[in-house]
Amino acid sequence: MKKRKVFTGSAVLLAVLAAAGGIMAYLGAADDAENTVEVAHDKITVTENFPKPSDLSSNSNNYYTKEVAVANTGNVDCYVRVYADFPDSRTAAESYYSADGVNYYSAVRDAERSGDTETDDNGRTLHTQSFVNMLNSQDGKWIFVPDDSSSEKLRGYFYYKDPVKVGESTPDLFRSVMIKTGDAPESLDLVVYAESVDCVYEDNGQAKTYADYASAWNAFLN
Amino acid sequence: MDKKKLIAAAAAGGLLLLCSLAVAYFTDHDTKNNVFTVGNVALELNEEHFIDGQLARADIRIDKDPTVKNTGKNDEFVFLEVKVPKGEITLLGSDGKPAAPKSSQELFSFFGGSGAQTVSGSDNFAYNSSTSSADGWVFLEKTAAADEDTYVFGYSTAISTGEETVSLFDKFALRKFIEEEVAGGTKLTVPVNAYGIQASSLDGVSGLPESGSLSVQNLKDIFEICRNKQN
Repeated sequence: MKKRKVFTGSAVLLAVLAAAGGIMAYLGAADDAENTVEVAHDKITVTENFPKPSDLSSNSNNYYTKEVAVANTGNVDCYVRVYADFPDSRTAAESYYSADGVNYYSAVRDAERSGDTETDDNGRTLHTQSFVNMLNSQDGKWIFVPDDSSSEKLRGYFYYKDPVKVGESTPDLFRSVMIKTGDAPESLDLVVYAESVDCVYEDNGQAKTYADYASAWNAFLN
Repeated sequence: MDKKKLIAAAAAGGLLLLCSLAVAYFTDHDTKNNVFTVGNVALELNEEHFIDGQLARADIRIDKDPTVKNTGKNDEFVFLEVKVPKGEITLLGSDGKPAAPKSSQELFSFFGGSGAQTVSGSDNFAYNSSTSSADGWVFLEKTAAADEDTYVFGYSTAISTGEETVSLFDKFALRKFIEEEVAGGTKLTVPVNAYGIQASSLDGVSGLPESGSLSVQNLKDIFEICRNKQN
């Protein structure tokens, strides 16, 4: 009986001592916040449906599917512009773009050029009106700034007028091309190149949004 | 049998003596230093205007206003530690041209309110400092590492239950550097840690004033205790 009291008493004292050891430290507290931000970047990809073309046939209207659009693959909304042209002006004079697969407009980059139409054997309509003249007269989402525009820095490109949202894509600039050939057709190139600019800019530490595509590009190209 | 009882009694006596000595020390310590404190120390780190996951664009300031609130029952001294990520970047001037060769630099700048003070030797870290007429934050130290710099600030006075400090800073922004030196889409973290410790009975710190603002050395000594407590 006496031995049990001794051990019980010892256990209680040890428990008190252990508890007191915890209390004797200074009282403190902590809290934290991780705070994540993501580096913004405007990034685009030219998305083309361009099946491997067959060889050009001589003395023919050669039609090719070439669906040109621009996808926003970055994490900010952006404006895009596209340069599309045949480096050889002789080829451009004999080539046509079509936005609907039926009406084909001259690839000559003359914004003033309009003219006649003709229908070929396949039911497609060929317009001597330039593709860029057609685009600008329709006042659609795509617009071309001609080489003689007063907006010097913007010249020579196709502009998509609305911001392209993250993960979205422009409609096709054109869907197909036609190349007229003579007796001895030669291989040719069609260059398609795209650029983008963030819709948001910094002004005295604040985020501001450009009023339109022209102000965004003018600021970027300054 | 008698011998066994004798050994058991001696062992029990020895244990009791050991405990008594320990308890005597503990009691003594308690009496001398008043370490026993009724209540608790608790705090909240608040960033009322910060939204996690925002996009960071060069020089565009993002709201970020860390404050510390005393949610415990005792007066507290509080501290904030900010970790700023670094990268190999070429900083650009306001004209968009390189202002310095590519080197390891902090990726963010910090901005306080009117009258904010810049950390000595820094051109990118301003904070809401204490003044002769207002409580605020006091810069204590900056520790450099390969991938981040760590800043520590202490609050100039103890804060009472329910009180909240002023914000350490109000905004921050990604610095302007050559695009893609930090890949677009990279997620960067700017961790903030808050520490608090009881304001009374800090017997391990000498020269504490009865009330009012603490000196830089006071705060450094107190933060050292906080740091040791965390380790």
